[in-house]
Amino acid sequence: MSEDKAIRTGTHVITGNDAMVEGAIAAGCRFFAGYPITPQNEVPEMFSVRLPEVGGNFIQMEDEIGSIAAVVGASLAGAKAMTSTSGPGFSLMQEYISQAAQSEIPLVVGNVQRTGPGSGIVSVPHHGDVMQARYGGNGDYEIIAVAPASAQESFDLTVEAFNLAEKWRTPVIILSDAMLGHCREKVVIQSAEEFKKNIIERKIGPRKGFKPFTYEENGELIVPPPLQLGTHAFPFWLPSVSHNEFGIPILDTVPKGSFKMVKRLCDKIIKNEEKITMTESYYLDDADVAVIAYGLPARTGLRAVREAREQGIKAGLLRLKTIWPFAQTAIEKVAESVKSIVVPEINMGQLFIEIDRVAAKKGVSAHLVIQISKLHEPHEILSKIKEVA
Amino acid sequence: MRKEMRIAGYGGQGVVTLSMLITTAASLAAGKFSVQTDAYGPTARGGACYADVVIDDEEIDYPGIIKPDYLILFSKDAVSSYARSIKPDGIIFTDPTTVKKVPGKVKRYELPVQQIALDEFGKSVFANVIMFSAFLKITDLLPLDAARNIVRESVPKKAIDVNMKAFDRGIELADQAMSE
Repeated sequence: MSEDKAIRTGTHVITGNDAMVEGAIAAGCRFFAGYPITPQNEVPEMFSVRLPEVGGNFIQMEDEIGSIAAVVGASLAGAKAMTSTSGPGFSLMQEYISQAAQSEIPLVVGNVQRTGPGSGIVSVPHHGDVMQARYGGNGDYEIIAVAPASAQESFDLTVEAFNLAEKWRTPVIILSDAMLGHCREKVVIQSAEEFKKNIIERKIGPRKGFKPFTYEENGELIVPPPLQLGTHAFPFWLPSVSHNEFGIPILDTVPKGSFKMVKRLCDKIIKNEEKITMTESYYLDDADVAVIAYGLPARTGLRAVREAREQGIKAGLLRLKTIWPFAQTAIEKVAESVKSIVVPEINMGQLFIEIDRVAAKKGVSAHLVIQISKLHEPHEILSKIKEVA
Repeated sequence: MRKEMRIAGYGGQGVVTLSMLITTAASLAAGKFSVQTDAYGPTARGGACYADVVIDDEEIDYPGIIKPDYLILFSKDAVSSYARSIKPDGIIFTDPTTVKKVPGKVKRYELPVQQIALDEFGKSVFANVIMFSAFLKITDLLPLDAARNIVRESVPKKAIDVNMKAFDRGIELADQAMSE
């Protein structure tokens, strides 16, 4: 065991929810504000134990709106900060997620998804918030969303979520679910020394000539260090309204300025899609059928692919570790080399809309395999693979 | 090789605890991969509940149960819900205190762990550890030394000795059951 209380070096058997907390604290998260909702309750519970041990702060807020607002404030004050919730709470948080995207405030939101719509079923998985993660708030903006598929990845991708939030100055959503949150699995945490090499620390902008918001220079978008309240790097005021790269509000008489701002916010994520997205390929080299999946269904998909291979069908899998920005480049590449694509989702087909769009462009057929409130069984995906092979 | 097991009964019978012992021993002490999931929800205490464990030498893809190799069934309801889901060459474990009859022709071990826990250890809570070691001995699923260490590490210090005795009693029980 390590002396470093924030990084619990060693091998553990823990749930996805607990792994998310360990990942956050190891990545430097020192503030959590949240409100109870099943199936994420172990996340705030564990934060309330762990944060005081590392000199951080835990607050149980009055609701999810207060939670995300407190996280925005903590991030502005210089802390790496996070909240977590499930579907209904995630809906309540959208106004501030939009605000944080607009003001380029790094923060992380864990969404341990449960069945919806409405209150739904509290204890079973449903990936119903995939589109909400991207389009939930008002206005045009882009965020980053990661989708862990194991307890280990609930740790690893939470660390990555904090890094991405710092690097791209954006809210990052972790899309977990009720089943993953309660899966107990081995989680290996490397030595603090090794681990710290991969952590992006909070930076403060320079005293002179600091442009606090993303700007263009020689045709490239530059994402400056985050704003920090109480330092020289904080602008004269925090513009909650549309603003230019200096933070000066854009008047309604010059709409060109707001066009530029919205474009910058979206471009910094979309145009850097290849740098941000993370995927893993299995058996794709000679595949005729590609399963494209994220989260736990990717593991079911892998099982189905292996069973298909045993039956002589050339199947492969592209696993998306990030959902947003959409992995356009990686999916186009797969679509160019296969005959058909199978997309298992625990929803009515949310990312399928995007995948189908790419597939159609490349002249490949895409097929959705729906499941709700439970994980697919491998044979459900296998029979679709056999049907379209 | 992938092995799947479901433990089922009522909340409070130690279903989840037993599954956690198995998954922890497999992952930490036996160098294998393992996933544990449980029926998580408002009925977990007193109502019907189950926990699933998958163990493999390689990283586990599908984390759920496809067709269990082993069933540990602690209630009549659990028997009627799951007894027929097992592989034909699987093994069912029951406790005669709670389960009398099991349909089908699958191999079965009746292990009176509740009664032994009460008679010899004074508390039904030790039934878990007795079942844990008996199950591992019969299935030869994990090295017993490794499993023993996991029990040692997961119980309070003052309860180590009695748990070690319960663990050894489970092995004795398994030996006896296998010789019958």
